[in-house]
Amino acid sequence: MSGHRPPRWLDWILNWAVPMGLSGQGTLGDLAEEFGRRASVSPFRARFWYARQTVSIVAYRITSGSDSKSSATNSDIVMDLRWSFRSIFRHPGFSFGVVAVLGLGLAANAAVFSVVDGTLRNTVWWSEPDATVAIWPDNQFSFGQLDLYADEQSVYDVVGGYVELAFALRTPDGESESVNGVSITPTLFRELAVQPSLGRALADDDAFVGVEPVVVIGEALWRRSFGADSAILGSRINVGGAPVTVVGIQGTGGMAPGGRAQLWFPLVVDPRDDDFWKARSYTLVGVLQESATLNNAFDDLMAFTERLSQLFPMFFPRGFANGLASVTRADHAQRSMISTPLMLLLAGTALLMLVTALNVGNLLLGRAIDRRKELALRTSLGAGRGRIVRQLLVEGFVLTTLAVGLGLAMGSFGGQWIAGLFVEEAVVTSSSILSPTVLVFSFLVSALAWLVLNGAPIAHFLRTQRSGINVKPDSGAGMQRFLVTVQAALATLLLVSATLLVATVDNLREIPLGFDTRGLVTLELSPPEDRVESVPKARDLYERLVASVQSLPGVEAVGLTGWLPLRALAPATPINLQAAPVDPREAVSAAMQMVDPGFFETYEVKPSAGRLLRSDDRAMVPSAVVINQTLAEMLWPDGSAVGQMIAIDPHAWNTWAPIVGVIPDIRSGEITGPIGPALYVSLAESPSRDVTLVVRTAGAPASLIPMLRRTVREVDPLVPIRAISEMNDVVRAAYATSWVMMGLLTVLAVLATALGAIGIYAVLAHHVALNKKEIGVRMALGAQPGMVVRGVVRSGLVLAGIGILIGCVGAAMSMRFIETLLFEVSALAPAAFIAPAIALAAAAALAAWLPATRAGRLPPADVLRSD
Amino acid sequence: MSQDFLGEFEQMVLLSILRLGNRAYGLAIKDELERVAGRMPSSGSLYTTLDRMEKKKLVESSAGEVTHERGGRPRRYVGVTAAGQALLVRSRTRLMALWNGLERTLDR
Repeated sequence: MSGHRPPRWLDWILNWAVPMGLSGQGTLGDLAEEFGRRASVSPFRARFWYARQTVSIVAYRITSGSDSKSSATNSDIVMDLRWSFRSIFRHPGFSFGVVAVLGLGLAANAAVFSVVDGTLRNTVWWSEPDATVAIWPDNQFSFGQLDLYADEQSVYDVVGGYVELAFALRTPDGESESVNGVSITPTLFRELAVQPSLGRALADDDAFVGVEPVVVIGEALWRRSFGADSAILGSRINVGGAPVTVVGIQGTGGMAPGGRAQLWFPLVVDPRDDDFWKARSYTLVGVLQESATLNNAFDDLMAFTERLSQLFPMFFPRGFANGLASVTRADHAQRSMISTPLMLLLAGTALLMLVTALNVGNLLLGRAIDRRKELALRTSLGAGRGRIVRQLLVEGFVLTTLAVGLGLAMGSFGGQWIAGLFVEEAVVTSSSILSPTVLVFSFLVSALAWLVLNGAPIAHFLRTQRSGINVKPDSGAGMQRFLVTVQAALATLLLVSATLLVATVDNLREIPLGFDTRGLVTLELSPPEDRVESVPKARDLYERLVASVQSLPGVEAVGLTGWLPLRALAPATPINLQAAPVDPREAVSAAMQMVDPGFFETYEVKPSAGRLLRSDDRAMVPSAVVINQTLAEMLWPDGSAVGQMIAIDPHAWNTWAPIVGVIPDIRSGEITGPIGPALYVSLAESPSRDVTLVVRTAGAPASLIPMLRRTVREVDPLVPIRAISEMNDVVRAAYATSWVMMGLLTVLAVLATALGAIGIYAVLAHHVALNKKEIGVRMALGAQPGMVVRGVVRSGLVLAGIGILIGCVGAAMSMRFIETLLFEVSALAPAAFIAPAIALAAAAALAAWLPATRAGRLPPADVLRSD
Repeated sequence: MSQDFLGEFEQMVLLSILRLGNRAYGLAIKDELERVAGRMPSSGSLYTTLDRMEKKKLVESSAGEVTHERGGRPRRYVGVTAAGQALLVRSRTRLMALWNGLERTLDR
């Protein structure tokens, strides 16, 4: 049958591979003819056969260069290349193993480096990264302070503040969408942002009370929700239920501050506003004058805090900023959290790469030992030393080059994957694997790997070369053992780091939270200002939200809290005691949590004394207070907390409220560190803009999330949902960096251990193969197979043991680098060293056992008879 | 000249060509090698060897018929040149000289 045609793409390859003229045409014709013959039996098998013939012809073409086209360029290098390709095709298993191992190491390096590079390079964040500083980043300023400081400071060109919020945006098709946004001082916006791609930036005049409200929108939002229609400039869109005029479109790419913000509003503040001095929610950023240094900026900030103490001694006791205030480079403030882990990761992958290169070097050394006769013969026939060294180098080069291709291909996926693992998604990004820096880095790493993996075979060749053709078979075995020992040491180092992080994550997971996270869902809401401007309005909104969520099937309890535990820190407030009044400056302070009665029910908290908040508590002015165990023990160690009268408002220092109950500690704020004193008051008393709905569900929380989203929109389409997440994820996010680092380092450590074991296996297998005769003689003389096996295993364990010891010493010396990531684990914890040692020794024993049993099974007679 | 020896595979290919007479082209040579000598060379090695021997002027080729089942490509008929035949004979003589006297030793 002539109906079958060979696959076209294979033909295309073949056309390239065969010589021109009759010879090539004849070859192709023969293949087509036989393909037709085979296809009439089985088309599938014929295709497979055709592919195999293609590979065979291509391989011969590469390695032999039989056609006349290239015969004129038979330079030495080309010959070396050919020779290398031929030896690669001749040992496909070996070559594949080497390329795969090297490629994997390179992929890990390229991936991690692309993440480090992408993260450190993320300079879109600040237009002047060197001059832009974050002023006391841990602190939030009130607008009054911001305003005052902007007037009084003397070191910045521009000082401004911003606050990140979420807004409900009405899109043209009538849908309501939650969008992250930033309210920012216009001068700061203009200083930091790249020029809008359309329209104008925010102007100072936009920030006055009573002027037409304006907004700059992000290009991504513009494309997504407004169809990239430039007619939107100057028209009004509906944000949070109010019309605002779009004046500019901000280019793509994150812009500081607020990495994912898509709406930028001018920070409009009314000095008559109650919150002018009180609400502390702004982050301060300044752009330094050219002559100013960070130290000047710090002194300036300290002078300002002293001024605050003079002006408002009630709120700012003298020295309140001592040891707390700080000024840091803005990008540094964002990156310092992540740069240590990333650098550690890079160090880990570098170690893995070293293990990889040593491993491959070991394999090549083994081959060089096997080829010692061939090489010695060639030198004695007149091949120069340099000639043979070059040949070895070229062979390593070809293998490394193939591995680079594989490594870059795998690395491009790895980089995105790793970046996606980190929670700080706006900060951690991976740059393209093909970006110049990543490419340069990858080539440098592979060049180093190339040198390392060639070092051993070349050193071996040069050494044996002196002893002429009668090379002893075991020469070079010492070097092999050395390489394996180094691998074991490096693997130990990685294993110890991974073990410490596993212990850390274990400790973090066991931190008592004070509540059961299972089945809890959290919805972070940002109601627009006019919804919560008065207590009755806010109360109404909250009640409607809680009632409609409560009525959903599968919902067991609903509560409200001003600050989501583990994500935000509630502000501290001073406490006055009726029984023993104190000056506010000397008062004990506690975190003030604003919650509704449903909060306790949802968190399943039972009072340890007294009672919880009730919905009728809010009728009392001031409201009832519930305190946590820590605060109770701090102020009333005798247990008489319930019934005491306290004041918690420095403005109303003698307005007393009763403590009605004590509850066990619930963790809020950071996951590590002690649980501080806390008190709980009714949220409806002083509604906050940001509020979190906590929902306890009966079944799987994830299935309820879409329904919760819909319910909130039905209650009020203008209340944007900033985030909706399962409490388990909130908790995990609190120690995500340790978690991710643990996972990645464990992967690296396991790979290094596996490579170390392979190294031990290779050396011992080689040793057994080389010493077959000796083993045969010993067994012929009466040695038991068990003894032979034990002997080989023992030598494997000795190699690993020395490596483990060296690795442990190295780990003990370098673990201070990892200390910042650890939690309640000593970097020198004995278990962190013993467990890896045992694991590695076990892997080594297994790796040694395979060749050992082979040695034990050698039939003595056959061995002695063979050459 | 450099070419004084023939490799084993080269000899086998040359002999197959001679056996096939004027019907020797790639596929036929392959079949002959398999049928008589039990060798199944890969396409790569067979065609490379043919090309190499042609360059050394041990074989010469001529275009044959073009058929549909060959995708419109001609057969490449190969014949052994005088130089090729001479070299074959020389190789045989040498091998025979080496074999001489060993028959009994190896015949056990």
